[in-house]
Amino acid sequence: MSLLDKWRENTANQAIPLQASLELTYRCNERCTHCYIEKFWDDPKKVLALNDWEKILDELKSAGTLYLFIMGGEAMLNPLFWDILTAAQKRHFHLSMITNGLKIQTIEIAERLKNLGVKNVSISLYSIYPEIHDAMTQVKGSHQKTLNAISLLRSAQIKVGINCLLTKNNIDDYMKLALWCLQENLEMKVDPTVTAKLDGDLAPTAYRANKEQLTRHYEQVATTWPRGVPRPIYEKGADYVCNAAKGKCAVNPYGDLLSCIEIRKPLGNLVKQSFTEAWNSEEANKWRNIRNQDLKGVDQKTKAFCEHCPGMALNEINDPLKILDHSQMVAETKKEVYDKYAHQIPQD
Amino acid sequence: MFSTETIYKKNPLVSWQKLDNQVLIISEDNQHAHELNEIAAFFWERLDEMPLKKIMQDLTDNYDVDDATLANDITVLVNDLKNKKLIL
Repeated sequence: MSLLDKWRENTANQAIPLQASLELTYRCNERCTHCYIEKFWDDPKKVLALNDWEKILDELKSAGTLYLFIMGGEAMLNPLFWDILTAAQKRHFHLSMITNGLKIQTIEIAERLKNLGVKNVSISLYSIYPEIHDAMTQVKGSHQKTLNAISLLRSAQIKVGINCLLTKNNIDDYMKLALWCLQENLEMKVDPTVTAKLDGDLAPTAYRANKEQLTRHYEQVATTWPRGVPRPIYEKGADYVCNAAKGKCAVNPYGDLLSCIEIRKPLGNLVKQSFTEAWNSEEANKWRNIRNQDLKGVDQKTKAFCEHCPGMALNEINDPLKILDHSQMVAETKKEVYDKYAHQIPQD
Repeated sequence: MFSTETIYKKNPLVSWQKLDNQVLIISEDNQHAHELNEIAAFFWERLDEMPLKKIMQDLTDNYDVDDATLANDITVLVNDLKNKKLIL
């Protein structure tokens, strides 16, 4: 076990949030068709001042957080973005950002991020084709701007990763994007999980890839890269469901502490109360104590391939313990492809 | 060797966290993780603020260590932290 894995495991076991996601704003300069945010604006009555963010950063540092993920909306649209980043660097957090890159269009901005200690930037890129990417973001020219940002960040020596959400609109061209990332030596994260909006509106779920598309996708990956065959999820023990309210937490643009980015029920507010008070609340314990045996609708044949997210289930069907039909379908698809291609996986 | 009057600074581009009397440090280039034990962590936390001799005095006040051993250990530690660009 590596040193970092040891720290991750020890902190999760003690419910110390080594990792925190900070949503700086709900504002965004894209309008992605599949996005989970319901309103791309911040309530002016709830917007935080710099000293509020500084208190939040102090609370997180004292609570044990090292890794800070700066995100939004589009985080760079918060007018205090640079001040908050500076405050985070002064507190020696390990800084990563999730962005669409539209505000990173000069080398000076990329270098400023680098000089403020940003180590990793994850950028959403949905396709190698501008027309597909721009149709998904609903912003003409966003593909080119995102590519510019990737290039500028790399010039500034910041590690860039590509996040690609697979939907029915881009999954069929995934391989071309994957090959481009390979050629450019860019790490890529792919996920077919389109979530409902934060208010429970199911509209984004209409963009989910169907079973036929997913089967074709996983088979294409398996036949191109034998190591890419879907595998059973590493089991962290019978009780383990997820890391929410254990080794990770999140904070929304109004300072509400969340168990994780997916579970939107606030545990408390870090401007008005201490982290300890919110983190030790009954609500936090409820999420922390979800066990595998509590889950409903688990299919024994495919459970090793099923990634259940209590927050996503709460938002979509108002039952955090019930396996979503979509999660079940993805699990079945992965298992079918695994059964067909597992023999090809190279033995290490 | 170095002057005990020196105030060493943590590299502002390293990230770190202290838990259970140990410190985890991620290097500026994001490639390496380092762990400091309790005494090194005590030393690390006092950087930026006070000269080496004051930190050494605090260490002898708080831990059962003789001056010669401490001086040797601190020399090794400072050199190690400097070589890894964790302090400036």
